[in-house]
Amino acid sequence: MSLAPEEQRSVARTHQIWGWIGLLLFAGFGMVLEILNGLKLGFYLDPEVHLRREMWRLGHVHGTLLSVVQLVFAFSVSQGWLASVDRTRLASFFFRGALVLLPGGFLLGGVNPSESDPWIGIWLVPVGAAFLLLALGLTVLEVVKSSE
Amino acid sequence: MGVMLVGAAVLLACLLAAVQLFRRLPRTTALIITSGLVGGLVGIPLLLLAALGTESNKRIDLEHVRYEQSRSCVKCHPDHYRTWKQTYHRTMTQNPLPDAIIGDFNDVRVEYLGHETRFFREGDRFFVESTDHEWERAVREETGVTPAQARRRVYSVDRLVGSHHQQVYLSLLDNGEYFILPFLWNRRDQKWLPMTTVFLSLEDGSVNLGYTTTWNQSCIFCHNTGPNPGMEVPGAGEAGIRWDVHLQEIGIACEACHGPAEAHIESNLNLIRRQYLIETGKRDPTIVNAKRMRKVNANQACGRCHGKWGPRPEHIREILTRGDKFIPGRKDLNEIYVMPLLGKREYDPARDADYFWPDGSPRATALEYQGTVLSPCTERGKMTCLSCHSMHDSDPDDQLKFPEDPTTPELERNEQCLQCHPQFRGNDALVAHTHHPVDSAASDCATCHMPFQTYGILSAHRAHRIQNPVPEVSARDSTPNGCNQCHVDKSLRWTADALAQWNPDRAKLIDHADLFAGERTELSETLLQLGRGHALSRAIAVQMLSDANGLEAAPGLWRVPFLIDALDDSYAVVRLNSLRSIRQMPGFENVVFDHFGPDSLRNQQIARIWDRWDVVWSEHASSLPKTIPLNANGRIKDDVRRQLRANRDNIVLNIME
Repeated sequence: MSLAPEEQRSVARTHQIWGWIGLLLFAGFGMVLEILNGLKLGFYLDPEVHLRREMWRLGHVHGTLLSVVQLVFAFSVSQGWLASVDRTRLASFFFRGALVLLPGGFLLGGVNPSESDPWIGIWLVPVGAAFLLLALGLTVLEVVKSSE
Repeated sequence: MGVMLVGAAVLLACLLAAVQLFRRLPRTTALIITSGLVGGLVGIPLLLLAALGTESNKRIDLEHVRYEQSRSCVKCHPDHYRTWKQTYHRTMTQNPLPDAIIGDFNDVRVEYLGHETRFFREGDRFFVESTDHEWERAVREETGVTPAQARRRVYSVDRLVGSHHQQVYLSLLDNGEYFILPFLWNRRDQKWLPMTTVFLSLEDGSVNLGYTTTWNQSCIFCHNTGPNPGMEVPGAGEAGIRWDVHLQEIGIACEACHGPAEAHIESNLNLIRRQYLIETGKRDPTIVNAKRMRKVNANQACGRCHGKWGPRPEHIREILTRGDKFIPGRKDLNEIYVMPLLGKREYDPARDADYFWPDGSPRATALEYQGTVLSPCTERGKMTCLSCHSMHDSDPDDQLKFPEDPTTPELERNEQCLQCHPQFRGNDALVAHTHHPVDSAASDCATCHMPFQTYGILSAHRAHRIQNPVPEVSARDSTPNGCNQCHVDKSLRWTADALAQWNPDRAKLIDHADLFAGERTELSETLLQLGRGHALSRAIAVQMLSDANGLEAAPGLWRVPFLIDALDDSYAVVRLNSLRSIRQMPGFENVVFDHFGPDSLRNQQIARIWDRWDVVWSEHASSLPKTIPLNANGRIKDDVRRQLRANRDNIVLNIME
């Protein structure tokens, strides 16, 4: 079933909102990391918590990039590059899921890391990665089909 | 809890995904994708977790596990690796790289016993030119004396031992022996010292160390990881032992304490296993962790090396030919090794004098294990080496868990003790216990309960046998006690009286007339030991006379003539430590004295130092307590000196630490 114009606008708007809010949150988190660095706070900078630093940086980067991906997806939908309702809705679900799970997993992984591994919250990352791959796969499928 | 929450989140995400997939896609496609999601994200981890349950508690026989070296540990244990790397354990043995060498090899020449030794380098290689040891040994065996004209030999420096207080240099000989070169470099004095003068033993006239032991059959075991001397006993018709040394890792590295790591690394490639152990806090049976051991095994983990254990006769050959297989916690040390411990057996000076006081307390370094297990804190309590020390996250100098903070009156070092004795925490409690001002040295638990009783590496060290000061023991055995190491001007009788005053019950136990009569009342205990004690007592006494605590409790230059008098001691280490103490005194910082130079030179130098003292005394003469036997000219009273020397304990000591 093809995506109706109202649905197109609705999906695009949803991802615009998610994208801009995501950018605000994750870019803002990046500023928080800068402040922690600037204040030389031990719980962020001590050698013993190197995994916390690494995980939170990864969370900030992935969250910011995935927020941009939301906006790109919104643009793609608004341009009519995705036609199928079902696959578009599915991709939308997985893109939003990825935005929550991937950077969320990194952030949780840095909450209480051990010396060798992040906290168990890191397990949300592969789930988020699977969601992202599914979303991208569905989008590629739609874009290829709509260009035919 | 975290596992459950995250697990629930993963399941919820998979469920929501499944709902959307089945809603939006053909059933078959949805089923395939859902299966892949659930299988990959939930199923595989669960399978791995189930498999883990059968093996996580299985005890591994580490004896047949391979060593992997410390660089394999850094991937998962970067903090432990970093903290270990800054310790002196790591640099206990090193290859002779320029950055590792601390000695002065800029074409330095040092003369000893008429023989010159030269230290030089060519590019990044280091050399020592000295007396040919094999030739010297042969001549001494034949004639009994060191030859006057030496045969020279250039030795390459092939291995280094130590880096903290001093560094010893080894040269690899043709038969695989690492020969101990005749001089070491001492950090504190910044000079080359003959090896025959750095132990508490009498010089025997030779330039090189005695030949009763080599690095290959003694030092190698405690200074390295997984040591194998590879001794090859000559067959019929062959001459000389050969050595094929193999070390799993040079220096004291991770696996020296934690055991071989191959099984640990392989099994922890499984990230589920890692997370499982982290979340549950369970013990990992693939590696050794002294913190999780029973008291006995935990102490043996350190005690193997800090306890001078030697192999039982039936195991010597195996250990020398195939290596030391000891893994902490997996075997009781007593199965393969013998520990020198006096304990309750009868003291035999001929056998025990080198390493033990008559009451069984160790008196050499590398016997910290023996001191620890004799402490009531271990015998009746839970104390282990790890109660006070940490290999990781501690100051490399003493590796105390709670380092000293000189800015606080209640020294942080006391935390070692206060963790089990909290009743002494706080200034009021401390003063009530010590009967001393809170900002005095007596507020440091170690001052009274871990006095300087042991000797090694050219210095006195604190006892690891934690005990109360008992002047009766000092009176009977001349064992140093903490009180007289600050109050260096006081007699033992004074100490006994003070303790009896604080604790009247003690007074009933003391028979002053008997134990503390004569010199024990009339003379400073420190000076008494310096005068008539054996070499170890004298070495400790000269150090205490310049110790900061002693200088604070008993200030003044009165100690100088006793230190000058000790410059002609028959033991080189006593002479050196006297010199060090003299140089702490104002006006004597630059005195010149070659403590291992020829007698004639030393006598001249001593005379000049006496001249200096006479000038100082004339300017600073003061009345002194009777316990300090100086006459009006600032010299030691002749009759006292004569009597002390006549009664001196001349037992020959040979403390090779």
